[in-house]
Amino acid sequence: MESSPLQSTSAWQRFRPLLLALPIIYIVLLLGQPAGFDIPRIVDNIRNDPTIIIQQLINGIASGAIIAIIALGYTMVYGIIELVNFANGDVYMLGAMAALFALSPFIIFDPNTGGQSAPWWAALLGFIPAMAVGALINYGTERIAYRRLRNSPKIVNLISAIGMSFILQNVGLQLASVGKLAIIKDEVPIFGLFEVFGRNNAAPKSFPSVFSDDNLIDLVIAPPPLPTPNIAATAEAEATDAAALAQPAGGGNAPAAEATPTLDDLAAAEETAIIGTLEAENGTATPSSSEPITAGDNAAALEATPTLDVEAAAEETAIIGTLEAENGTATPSADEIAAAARAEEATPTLDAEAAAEETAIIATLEAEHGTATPSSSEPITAASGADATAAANTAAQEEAQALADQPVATNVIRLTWKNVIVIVVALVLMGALNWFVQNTRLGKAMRATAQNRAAAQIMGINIDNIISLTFVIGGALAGAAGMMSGIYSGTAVFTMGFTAGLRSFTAAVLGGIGNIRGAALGGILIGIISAFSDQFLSVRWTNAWVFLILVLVLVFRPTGLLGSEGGEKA
Amino acid sequence: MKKEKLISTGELFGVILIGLLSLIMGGPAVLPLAILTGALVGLNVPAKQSGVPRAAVIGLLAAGVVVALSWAHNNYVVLLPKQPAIPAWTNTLPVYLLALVLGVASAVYIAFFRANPNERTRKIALLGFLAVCAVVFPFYDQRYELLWASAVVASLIYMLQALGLNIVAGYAGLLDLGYVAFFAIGGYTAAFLMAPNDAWNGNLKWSFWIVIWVAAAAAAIFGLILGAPTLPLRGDYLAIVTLGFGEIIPVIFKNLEAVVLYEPIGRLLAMFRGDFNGGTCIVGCDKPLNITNGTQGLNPIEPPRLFAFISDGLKSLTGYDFIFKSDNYIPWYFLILTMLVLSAFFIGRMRQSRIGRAFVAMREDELAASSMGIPIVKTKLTAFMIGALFSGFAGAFYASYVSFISPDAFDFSVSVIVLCMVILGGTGSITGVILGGLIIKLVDLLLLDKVQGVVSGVLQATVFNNVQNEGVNLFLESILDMTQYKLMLFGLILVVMMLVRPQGLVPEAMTKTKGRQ
Repeated sequence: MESSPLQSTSAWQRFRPLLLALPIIYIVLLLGQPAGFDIPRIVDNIRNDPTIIIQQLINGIASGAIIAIIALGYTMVYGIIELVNFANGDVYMLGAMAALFALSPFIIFDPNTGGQSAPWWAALLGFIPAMAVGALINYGTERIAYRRLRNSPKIVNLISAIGMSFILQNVGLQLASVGKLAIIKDEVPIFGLFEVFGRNNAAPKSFPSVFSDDNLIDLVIAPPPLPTPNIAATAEAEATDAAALAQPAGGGNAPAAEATPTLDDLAAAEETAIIGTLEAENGTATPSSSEPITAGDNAAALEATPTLDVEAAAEETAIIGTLEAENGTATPSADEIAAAARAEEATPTLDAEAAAEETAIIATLEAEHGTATPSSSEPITAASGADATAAANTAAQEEAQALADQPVATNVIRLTWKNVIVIVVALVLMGALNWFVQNTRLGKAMRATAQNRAAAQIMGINIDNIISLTFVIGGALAGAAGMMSGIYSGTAVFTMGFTAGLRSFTAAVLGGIGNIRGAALGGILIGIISAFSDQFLSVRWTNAWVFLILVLVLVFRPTGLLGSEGGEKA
Repeated sequence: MKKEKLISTGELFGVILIGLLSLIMGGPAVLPLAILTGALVGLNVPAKQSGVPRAAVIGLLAAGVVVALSWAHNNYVVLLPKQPAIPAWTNTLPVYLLALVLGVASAVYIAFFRANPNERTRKIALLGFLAVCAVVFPFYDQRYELLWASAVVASLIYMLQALGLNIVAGYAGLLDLGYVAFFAIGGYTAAFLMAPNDAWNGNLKWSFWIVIWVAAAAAAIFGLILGAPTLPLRGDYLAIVTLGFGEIIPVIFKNLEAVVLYEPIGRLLAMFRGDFNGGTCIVGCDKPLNITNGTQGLNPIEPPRLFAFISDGLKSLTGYDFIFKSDNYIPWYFLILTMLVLSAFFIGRMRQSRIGRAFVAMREDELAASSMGIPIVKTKLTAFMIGALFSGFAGAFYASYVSFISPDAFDFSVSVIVLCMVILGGTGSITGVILGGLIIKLVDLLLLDKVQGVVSGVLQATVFNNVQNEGVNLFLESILDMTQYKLMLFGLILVVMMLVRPQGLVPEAMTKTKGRQ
């Protein structure tokens, strides 16, 4: 075809981005599947239970509020001295430790449930020491590690900040040594306060539960009546239900679910369902990932061709563990069921002649302080277990009965005091900060310093004090975030600062680093994205997705969504 | 004429440090420490003929300190509870005399040749000294139960990585905080080719000597792939993006344990038809493909194999076994040492070459370099590739050496440790980076444990025997557990170096006076 070179160039230029984008989109669709990016499964999940979207929105906004508060520290410091204060995440961790310690005198032990709780006003008071500790640490960090480097290249500052981050992390680890002094609390009563730090330095520390798990929506809308579980009758139906649920959730493990229908009339199946704990703490994937894997591996070990014979006796080792969806951003399902499904796959390996008993050991859904949307998947799995048992095993039946007693009538969507408090506190802090920066003299000085340090100095602003003030505010906010996460997720561990810090930095960059409102927006967005990723993609890949966002934003739009006030261009 | 002090502050500090080492180590460490002390003294005296007698005197004094404190260790510190026993022969007069002689000899040798006006002779003499020490070390270690070999091999692996990072961060000035990604890629590539793996039904068992090149090539390719998006970035944004990659790669390795791939377009079409589980399955259809085995990792990874005549020849030559086994450090040590020396040589030559000068020019001023005709994009990508290459080598060696690979070995702290080595030694300086690597990793793996042993012994002897209080004792034990302070050690190194000496212990020759972007 003869055409003018000019024309062909322009046509090519018009379509080139599209032509380049198509293979990239295809590759993402193809290779995204193992990382949970499998659109039909996601659509199917949503179709099965659309309320999950609202639920995850609530969870995401609550956890995003915490991220946003930490991100404010990053963005303010970056705005004023163009330093990525890597240690901010660890200030947050130490703030959480301080908050835990501040709560310790008020902890009430409940002998009935074995749980610990603290009054709500203690938690609100606890914000003060947590913020003070955060402010102090950040102030000290700036004095020690950054002030002398202010005129050095940015990289030198960044390396120093990484060093401070490691130092603070180590402090957080070794600080917990005081927990061992609690052994002698009978002799020296004051040491009893250290009990909260436990005996193991590196282990996560539990916060007392501060706010009840009551569903606030129940106060407005009457919860639907609970369907009475009819164990014997609905056996088959629920089994297939479970299969249907397991299949999409398992994603890769489609064949797994085939094990369920195998439970033949003749066969007595022993199904021992042990599923690892999905400790989806606060949606942070790190701790959660290991255990489902173990469960899966268990299954993989037993794996064999699923000869689902009529005569086959299946010993099904489906191990369902506690779903401790603490503060549960991760609604059960996904990984849990995947593991279950894989475990079920293992079953048929057992010999043909064997009689199969099915012991469905299904663990309690410990939705501790959890929004972990109850119902949907877990009880069904339980029922499927119970179904198999019905034929043979009465003991398991009793268990299932006991389990059936557990759930209380509640709305499907959960909104607890925890969510509300975290969001309200975040709003208050953001409002206060916004007022401070916009309406006070010091705030004006901060903005001036961020805009042009030299000019601000000429105008008589004490730069050192203003920078210190910025660090103090950032640290106080990080400390407050520590208390919020204590209320919300209920745990603190010395490594939590790194991931939280990176997420918050991502949030700050997403919103536009240097921009305070951008950080708030970015935080909420990252929270929602994480919650949706936990639910619809995979808990274990959430970190990777979040960091991918970080990379993409930095590479393609370094000014973020709202642009940068600090004037820094990468 | 200015009155010279007998001993400068730095020297005094060095003597105190070495003395403390002797006090903590004792036993068979006395000879290596004496030689080290002597060498440091030799390097410290003025490089002229008059320095030689001075080196002899100071060397004798310093070696005397080492001997005296080793003696103190052997006779007193070992009496503390929970101390490892020392071989009896080390606590004898001939050994102490030998240590004195070796200390003085190495001081005199180095001082003598440093005074030599011929640079070539000087270089050969010093490198020869190092080479002799390096060759004798593993045999001494094994024969006399020094037990440093595993720490030294680990530090050599890290040094190889540090050399690679030095190209990216030192020469080219591109701070890479996700350098561990390439280490992981090298390690996993080696594991895929040398360990049993469900994904390809069995055991490939490629030869190590081929795998190591494949792993390095894979790392280099990923250096290119991960480097390309960072091209427009500079400074801290670049650092953060690479950090993001460094976090993503281990997550991928951790989770690729049940892979099922569908043809995406067919699957989407099926979805619109209402079939939510449709589409053609491409990978893992019968059962999900387990590529990396998750957190369990892949093992056992094959060790390298030598031709029988080589290993037999080496054995008859040295009297030691040269078969690669998990408990035999000697061949591993020589393998990684060879890799390190070759890499250092290659990198040193490259630094002088056109591309090396282009790296530095780009680091100093990207705009100026670009207008002088240096292709910035190509140069940056080359830096990422070559840097990743050496990490790939290190990863492949690591996989084979440990014989087991899991994603836990590749977290952010590895990147930071390697960065620490480069920073401590001096960015852009090969000698500095190797020195930094040696110091950091030996302190991490060797010294902290030893210090911990002594501290807990002292605690046991002083507090625990007198204060019968479980809470206090546990608390002290925990808060004084030196092995728990590794993170703080690395953090302190970074902060202190940045505050006090950002150019490192052995600064790069050309940037002694100048700060840089």
